[in-house]
Order: sequence, then C-alpha cells, then structure tokens
Amino acid sequence: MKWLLSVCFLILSLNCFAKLTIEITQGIDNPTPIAVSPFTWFGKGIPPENVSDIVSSDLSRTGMFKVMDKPEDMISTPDIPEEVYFRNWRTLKQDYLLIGRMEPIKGQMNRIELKYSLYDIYRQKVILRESLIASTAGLRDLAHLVSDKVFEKLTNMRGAFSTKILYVSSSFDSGNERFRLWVADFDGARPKVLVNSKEPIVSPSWSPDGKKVTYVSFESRRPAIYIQSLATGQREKMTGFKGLNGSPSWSPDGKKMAMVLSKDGSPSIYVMDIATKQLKMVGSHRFAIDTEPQWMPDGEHILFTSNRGGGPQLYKVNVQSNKVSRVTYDGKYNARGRPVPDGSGIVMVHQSRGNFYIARQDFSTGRLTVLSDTKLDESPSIAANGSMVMYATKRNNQGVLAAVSIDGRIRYILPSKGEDVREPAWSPFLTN
Amino acid sequence: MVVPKQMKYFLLVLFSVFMVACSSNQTKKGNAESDVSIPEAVSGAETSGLGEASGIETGSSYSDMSFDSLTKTIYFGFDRSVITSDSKMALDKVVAFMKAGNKSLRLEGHTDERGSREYNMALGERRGNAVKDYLVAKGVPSSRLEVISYGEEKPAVRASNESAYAKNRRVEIKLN
Repeated sequence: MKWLLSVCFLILSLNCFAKLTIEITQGIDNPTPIAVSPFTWFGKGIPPENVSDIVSSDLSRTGMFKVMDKPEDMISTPDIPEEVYFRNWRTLKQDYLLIGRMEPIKGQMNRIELKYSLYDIYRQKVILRESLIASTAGLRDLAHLVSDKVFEKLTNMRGAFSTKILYVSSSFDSGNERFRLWVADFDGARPKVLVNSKEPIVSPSWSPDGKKVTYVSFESRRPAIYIQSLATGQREKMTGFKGLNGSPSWSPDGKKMAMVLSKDGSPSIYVMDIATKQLKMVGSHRFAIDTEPQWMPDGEHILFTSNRGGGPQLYKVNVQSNKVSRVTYDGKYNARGRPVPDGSGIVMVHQSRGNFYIARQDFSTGRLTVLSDTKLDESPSIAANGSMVMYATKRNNQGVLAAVSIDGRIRYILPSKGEDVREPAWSPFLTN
Repeated sequence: MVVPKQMKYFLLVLFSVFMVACSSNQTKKGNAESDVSIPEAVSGAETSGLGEASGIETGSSYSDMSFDSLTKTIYFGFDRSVITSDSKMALDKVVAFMKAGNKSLRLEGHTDERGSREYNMALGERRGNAVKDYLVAKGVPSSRLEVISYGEEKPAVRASNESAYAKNRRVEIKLN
C-alpha cells in the first residue's frame, strides 16, 4: 500500500499543464526607464487581473525597458493626472510614467472601464491617454492591448503582446506517452489543449487570419495533415498519403497550403488548393529530400530545405514558374527557414561546430548572424511584428521554449514546469 | 519490466483519475478517433476536453515465436542511412521469416534529436527505405512492407548524449 501512495503522490506532484513562465536571460545595455504605477481598482475585493503587473511584465520582457513597478521604489503612486509630479519621477530617473485606474461600470454586470495615461517625464506632458472597456474575462486581453499601445508609442513598432503561440508538449507518465498541442498567450499564460493524443503531433502552424491551425498527427499510426478551427475544435483531415505528410504551411491569402509528401518517391514540396484539395508539385528534384516549405510574404515564393546540393540548405521556388534558387551558402547545415515579415531576410536552424543554433541571414548583405547561444536549438518562429524569434531548445535535459530578438541582443526563456515542450508557432496579429 | 495485469489496470485507473483531475473544469467532446480528443473551443471559459487516458499498446507480436527471435532494431551511423554488414545478417533472417509466411511489416524509421525536426522526419524515412530496399532486393514483395518515419519524435533513449543518439538512430521492425 505504501508504494501505491507514493505513486499517487508522484502522479499528483507532476504538473497537469505545461505551464510556461518567462525568465529574461539577456537584455540591451541601456534600456529605457519607465515607471508603471499600480493601477487602482475601485471594485469590490481584489481586481480580477492585475493589469499594471501584466503591462509591466510585457514591457520588461522585450528587454528594451527597465520597468519600475514596485510602490516602495516610488515617491508616490498616482492614478489620476492631478497627482502626477514630474519632478518626483525625474528624481527617480524615469523617462516615462504609466498610470491607470479600473472601475466596474455601474448597472453592467462584469464590465470594467480602464483609464490610463502615459507621460513623457522630460517633456512634462501626456503622450497617450485612453479609456477602454472590457468584460472581466477580457481584462487580460485588455492589459496586453495597453502594452501594445504603450510599446507602439515608445518604439514606433507595432506591439505583439496580444498574439498567441502554439506549441507541442510530450510527457511520459506511467509508461504512457502523451502528446498535446497547446494554444497560449504569447507569454505562456492561459494555456489550453487543442489536441491530446498518444501518438506524435508535429509541425503546428497558423492560418493567416489566426482562426485556424494546421498540424500533423500520427494518431492513426501514420502521419496525416489536419486543419482545426480554434473556435469550434472542428477539424478536417487534409491528407493521409503513403509516406511523409508533413510541414503544412498556409499561403498568405489563406487559400493554399504548402506541404511535404513522399507519395511519389523522395520527399517533395506540394501546393494544395484547400477548397478542392488539388495538388501541384513544385521545385521537385528526383533524388533529394525537399522539405519544410514556408510561404514567403510575397505569396509567390516558397522557402524550403533541400539536400540537393549535398547537405541541407535553404532554397526558394517560384510557385508559378517553378524556378528554384539557392538562398543559403554559409556552413554545411541550414534548415527550417522562416522569412522575416518585412521581407528583409530569413531565420533558420544553422549548424556550427556540431551545434545547432538559430541564425538570421539578411538578403541585402547576405550576412549570416547567429542569434542563439544554446546548442540544440530548432523550430524558429517569428513574432508578427518581426521583433522576436521564438524557438525550441534544451535546458537540463528538458525541452523548453526560448526567444531572442531579431538582432540577437535580447533573450528570454519560457521554462516549462513538468513537460517537454517544443515547436513554438507564433500567431499572426489577432487584433486590428 | 513485467507488470501484473491487475497492477496495469490499477495504473490505468490512477492515470485516468489524474487526467480527469487535470481537466475537471473541462467538458469532453466526443470524437471519432478514440485515442485523440479535441476540445470544443478556445475562446470561452467552458472549453476543451482532455479525452482518453488509455495509452496501453496492443501487443501484436508476442504470440509469434519466430518473429520474436529476430533482431528487430537496425542501427545507423550519424547522418547515415547505410546498412552495416552486421545489420545485413540480421535482415537476412527477416527475409527468411517473410518468405516462410505471408506477414506484413512496418518499418519505423527514427533519428536522433539533433537538427531540424521536419528534416529529421525525412531522414527517418530514408532509413526505413534503406531497410525496405534491402528486403525487396532479397525477394520480399514491397507490398508487404510499409515505411513510417517518426523522425526524432519517439526516441528509444531520452538523453542528449552520444550513446543515446546512437540508440535513437534506428529502424524498428514491427508486424503490421
């Protein structure tokens, strides 16, 4: 009986969810100081979400800001414009100040109004002021929206705090392996299981409108490509051919899907018309492995990995003309390319001295820059605003997700408590 | 490890309880595939379903003594899909087994964890095909051989070192 109890304890002590929390490992040298005064809550009890905390963590993890958010570090904690004394914040060496207050709307169940103001301390003026309304359940989304607006005001770059990520976890409990596909906020909060299977799930990715996901599931003991609606959970099996069925990637117009199939011999890139399921092979090479297709932002080219030149390198093919050109030359192993949203280059898995890193190659200079510093890095996925690259790596023998800025200067890790996690896929922008 | 039947059942129940505990705020949605569950929606609070907890494989080969006596795992060098001479001797016995009966085989190709996952999926298939080609060359009908690649998704040994990698670069031969 004793061992039964210990088994129970062991099982219960394992985390139910692959919960992710962020840990910043490297930032820039001179981050902008910004104070976030705790937002006052005028409702009963404790606020449903600590909005100022969420905004503060969002800004911190970009590595671009040094956030002061503890009341004990401040001279005062204003929540209305009349209480803001610029001199105090100058004394504290802050460049910017964010204040806010949240109030339940009278006569409306679960509706909350948030008023916030962003100040430029040196120019002594308000640079952003808004009143926003959300339901209690939507308060976390509202917090990320405030982060988006503050970030855009201060950096002139659209914020990606309201985006989500997909990732795959695997766990090995009582001899049973479980594979799960998850969707979570970009910071790992609010994880939800989309698929739960005892066979592998691989290559998750988003539809361009962020409403559907596609992935490969081995649930029938053979790989097959599925499309699944996030809202309803309804799904459709797109392929189940003999051999490989892999790497589904949506075209920017949402009408087509690139994938790899080996039904006709060696693995080749195919484009499927989603409505008719008609297939067209592109850029094929008789003996080589062609895989990991990814649509370029122009909608006309597909980036893919091929070993037609010996080892794996990245190539692109024009979908109409079928013309193939080589993209990478630096090193013996470059794979799994992902185009930077503004079309300026790509990120990829790059091997150097036996280790695998995430690297960026610029189209204008042709230069390759290694971005990550661990050695089993894979599956890069770029944020919709092009600022960060999320990827999978190993830490203490466990699969974890990490992120690095596109210039390599900022890094953070999302350690998972419990399960092995991998294959992050960053969503497109989900708000207008 | 030999686990008595009742114990297996107990573990299964325990695992189910654990899974239910994990998903207590979720409602289950029926799905045609019994080992896969798809939660209903991701936007509301009342979503999702962690489904079946059953994960016990059905053993397919325990009763077949002659299949049991075969070497069923073929190993490969780093970034290689070449069959070694030791493996050829093992595969020749598989050929004899196939010719003696009319069984079908699954050749499951695997890689180590290094490099890109999706590229590894293709390398795993290449290993499976190498075994298949060898068997076909020795007279086994290709219609009785199926190659499935799992890439790096199902390592035999869960560790990031050379000896684990050597055990993970393999083709597992199973009755189909």
